[in-house]
Amino acid sequence: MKKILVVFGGRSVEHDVSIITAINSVIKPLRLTKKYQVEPLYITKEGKWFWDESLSNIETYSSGKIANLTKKLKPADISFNDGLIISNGKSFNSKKVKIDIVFPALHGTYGEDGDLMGLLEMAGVAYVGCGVLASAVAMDKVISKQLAIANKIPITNFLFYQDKDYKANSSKIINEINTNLNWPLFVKPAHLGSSIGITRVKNNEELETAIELAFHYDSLVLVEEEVSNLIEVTLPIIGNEVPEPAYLERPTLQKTDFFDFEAKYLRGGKKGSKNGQASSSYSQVPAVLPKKLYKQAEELGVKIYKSFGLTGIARVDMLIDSKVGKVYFNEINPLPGSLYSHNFQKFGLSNVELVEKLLFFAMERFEQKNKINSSFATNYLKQF
Amino acid sequence: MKILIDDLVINYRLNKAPKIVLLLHGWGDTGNGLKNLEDGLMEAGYGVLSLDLPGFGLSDNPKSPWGLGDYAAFVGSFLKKVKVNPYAVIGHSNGGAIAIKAYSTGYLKSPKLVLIAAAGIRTNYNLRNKTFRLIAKFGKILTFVLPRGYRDKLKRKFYDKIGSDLLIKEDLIETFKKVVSEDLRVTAKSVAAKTLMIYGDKDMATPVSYGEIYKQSISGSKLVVLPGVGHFIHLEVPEKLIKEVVGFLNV
Repeated sequence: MKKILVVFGGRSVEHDVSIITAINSVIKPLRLTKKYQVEPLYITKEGKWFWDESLSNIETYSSGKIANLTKKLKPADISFNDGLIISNGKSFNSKKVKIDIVFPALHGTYGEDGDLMGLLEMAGVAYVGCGVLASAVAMDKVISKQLAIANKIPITNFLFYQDKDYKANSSKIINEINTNLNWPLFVKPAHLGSSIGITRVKNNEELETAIELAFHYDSLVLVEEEVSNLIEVTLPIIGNEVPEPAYLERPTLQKTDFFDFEAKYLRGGKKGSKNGQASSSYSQVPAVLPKKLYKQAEELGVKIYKSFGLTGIARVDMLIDSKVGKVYFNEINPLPGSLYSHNFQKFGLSNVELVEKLLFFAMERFEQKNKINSSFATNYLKQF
Repeated sequence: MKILIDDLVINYRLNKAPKIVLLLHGWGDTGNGLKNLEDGLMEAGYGVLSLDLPGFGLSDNPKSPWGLGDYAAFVGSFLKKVKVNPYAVIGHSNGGAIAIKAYSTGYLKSPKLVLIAAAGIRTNYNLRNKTFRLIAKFGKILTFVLPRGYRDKLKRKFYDKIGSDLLIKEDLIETFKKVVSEDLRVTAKSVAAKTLMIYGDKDMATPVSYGEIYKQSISGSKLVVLPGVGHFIHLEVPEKLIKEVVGFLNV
């Protein structure tokens, strides 16, 4: 029986979203197969790692018991000396498991951005999803845009600023934005997902407030033009060399001006959608678009997936100017919240099939990588 | 919309109109909890500024335990940052207590104040509270031998039974203790705004007697008691409430 370690929580503002992704969309379907030994590894907001069966129960978090539980549990020990081995202490009765595949279910910083993937590469263990570089690039909105330009992928006009530069020259920067970009604008932290810290602004007063908010989350902030006659679409894709897109999805905008965190995760009643997934009521799957435009967006999504070297799973967000029929690249989410399983389900792939496919892609990539020779015999040291 | 106030991310909603009303929700609630009232006010032509107070909804938690004074100062900073000078303030339950504190400390100066089931009177149930505190302490000793999970369950049941909000937000327990440690009957004397108070006669959390005490403290204030209504007036009889509030604001 293959041993799967699901890693979630983490030092990220998307900590809570990660818990839902892990428990509802990864652990539950994997256990339904009865083919795997699934081990939950929870990382606290402070960065402590815990491994315990009770961590795979949503009630542990929703009831607030997690605070006491992490005080009581011994932090997990991870060893890299013979593959990835996880244990819960060094005493005679401590549990120890050698992991076959890691399933990262972390969103945002210290997880989705390539940091965890680097650790897993060092450990020499197979893992689900994008690799170190693709994850890091995808999670950096500025580098992503620069890479898109290099690949002739259309993007909106943008400017970006470092925290310290803005503090030193805020009025000059506000002037620069006014001179070079057309209103309304979007202000975004460069490295966050789930729409956290993003604000749509229509004047200088709102711009300054939004920049201040974005710098609260990140030291790099970008300001970009809005697409006119906007249709937002997103395309979840799985696969390695041969990307397999699901349906193009169109968020249905309600009261908020754009597709924000609250709309994605908290709408649909006081406590949000019951299973915590990005609820299907907020979006149209598949997006109802003219055939040509649908195809154009789908093709661009696949081109972006390939150009960025994405593997396993990712979601590509795009912006369409419906009047001129032009599709722009917006951003990539290398680990979509709840794996976007609602979309794959509609496409005909159940939750169970989805996670199993992702495990397959993880092994495929791992085996391919292992074929590459990483040692080279030399006489270099003999000269010393 | 989000804004940064004193290094806390605050979620708020502003619908502009010549006269803007600030809404302050109660403990454990969010700005959305007062949506009925917000919609009613907008229908009557008022602008509404509604927010999730620190620790609630989509706003950050205070970085250290806060008391009413800290919440009052926060309201002041918030209004300054969003550049709104509200025509009136409406506070429900703990939001009412925050409003009173903010008026007394000069952070609020709006000419009209509406207190809905406002909290802030702490000694009325002195004996009751002392008894419960004693039971809680004994309970802690007696249940010490039980497994932690079971003990927590019992604790939760007990606080739920006595109608305490202590465990509604476990990460804000220290803030809650600080907030409920302050009695506002004297503080309320410095409220100069024209004040309407609305209480439900079936309210166990903030009984009508609180309104009667505040009526004595706030000069010229008016107390309306709604029969058959509990603590969540805005959810139980929204239309009645909106009629009372709009009638008061329109004068």
